[in-house]
Amino acid sequence: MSGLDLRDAVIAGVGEADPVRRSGRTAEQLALQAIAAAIADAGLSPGDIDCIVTEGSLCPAMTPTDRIAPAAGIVNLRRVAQSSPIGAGILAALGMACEMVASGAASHVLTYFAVDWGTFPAGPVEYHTKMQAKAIVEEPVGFAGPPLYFAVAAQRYKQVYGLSDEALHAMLADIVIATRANASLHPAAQARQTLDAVSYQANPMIAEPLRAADCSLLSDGAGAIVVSRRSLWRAQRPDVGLKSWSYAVDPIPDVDFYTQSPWLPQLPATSRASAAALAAAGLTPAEIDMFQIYDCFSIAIALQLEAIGRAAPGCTKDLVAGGATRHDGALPVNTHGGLLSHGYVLGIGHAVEAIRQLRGEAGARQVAGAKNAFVGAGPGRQYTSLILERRDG
Amino acid sequence: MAELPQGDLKRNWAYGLETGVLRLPKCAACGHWNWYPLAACRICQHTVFDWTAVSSRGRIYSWTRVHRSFVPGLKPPYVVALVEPDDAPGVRLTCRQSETGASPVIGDTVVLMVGGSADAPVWCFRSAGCAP
Repeated sequence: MSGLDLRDAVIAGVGEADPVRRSGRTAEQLALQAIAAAIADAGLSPGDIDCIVTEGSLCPAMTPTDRIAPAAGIVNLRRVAQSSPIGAGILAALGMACEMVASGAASHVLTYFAVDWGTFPAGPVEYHTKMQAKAIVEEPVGFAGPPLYFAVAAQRYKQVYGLSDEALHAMLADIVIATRANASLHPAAQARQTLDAVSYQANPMIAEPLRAADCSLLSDGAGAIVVSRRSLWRAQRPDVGLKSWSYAVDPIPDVDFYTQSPWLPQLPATSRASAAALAAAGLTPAEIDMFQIYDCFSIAIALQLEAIGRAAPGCTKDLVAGGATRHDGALPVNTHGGLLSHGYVLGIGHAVEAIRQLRGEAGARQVAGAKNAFVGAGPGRQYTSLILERRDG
Repeated sequence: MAELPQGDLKRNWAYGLETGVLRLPKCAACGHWNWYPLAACRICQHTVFDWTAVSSRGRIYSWTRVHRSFVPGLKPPYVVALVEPDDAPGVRLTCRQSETGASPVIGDTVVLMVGGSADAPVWCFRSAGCAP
């Protein structure tokens, strides 16, 4: 992005509708709660928002801008844009929002994402089964449901890197137990009861090697973020913004990836997006203070840490041992509890957590002295890597 | 109603299960196996595919044993795998172990066969080692 100075864009406001299993509210109501909170956090009024950028698949279906904007009092829009589908798209929308502000095309950009898959738990399965090949070829043999996609990835991971069953089990347990420990320090996390090796093992098996605790929660929830041009920024909060970002995609349809990827356990799009974002930031993976990355399943953490270059291939087990991914460990990961323990809001929660951490608003789970954060989502055919930074103090 | 490109998938898949011969879509111009089929070949953008018979031998790409049902009427536990047919490199076929038993091993050779029930046939696999 030559010619753009992302420091002209400040992440001015964040807001949430905290995740719960059944909210008794619609996705639109959850979105509006998060949006109002984010605009207030930025010190703005709805009429100040002149651009909305959102994820491009679920958001137009569940919380379309044409219904959300008037209900939120956002009446002065000059730009509306959409990014790619699901998690990678939610993060790409934030990247695009920062670019639109830095380019001068917009003054105050809103991005939001809301989901009601706690109330309607068939949502994730329905997203995948809308592809005809799933209904004709995959479902009849019993190959259905997102846990299977990551179970076969985990089996390949074990085989390719020569892990024993016990080593794979220990790695997944370390990831899940630390994620839950982080969630136990987040007052609004959905699953706050800590786990140990025994209670982890007591979880029912879903698809080998993944147990219930290795799988994402189901949630109703929302998040919203406002990006302001520096000259118009109200400076109500610490100066946090985007240092760099990148998006990469492989030429394979979204829902084909999980059975037809020839690369597992590697994630080429994750590697490309992350290498580009890190290079643009002038940082190595080891210089990142925390990773907020898409943990739809515990194994996805290992696949991403290795694709990002933070862990050598097959060596995540050594890095995550002993609770290192807790907020106060050597490698803080998903300090809010992620999709596994905070709530399944598909990536917006990871971005919100990174912002709150860099502001110093994370309370008992605060990562001491954090100056930057890697936020990533996708992990399939596409990936978005954001590197956020604290710019003052 | 206009025929969609993917309409071919349903018809051809049912025909393969009925005849017991695995047929997969191959680009009529460049020969690339296109799985799952798109409206045009992902290598050369040609729009005609030949549904071509392949041998019933393949190798395990990955697998899992399912303990929680995601498909009504199918009682867990059962084993499913992604199998690469020897004659169609790059294709990964989802199939079920014919009789749930020992865990498959990635890379092992298996034989593909039609299993399931008479009114709901599906592609299954069994170890090549126990072939009659």
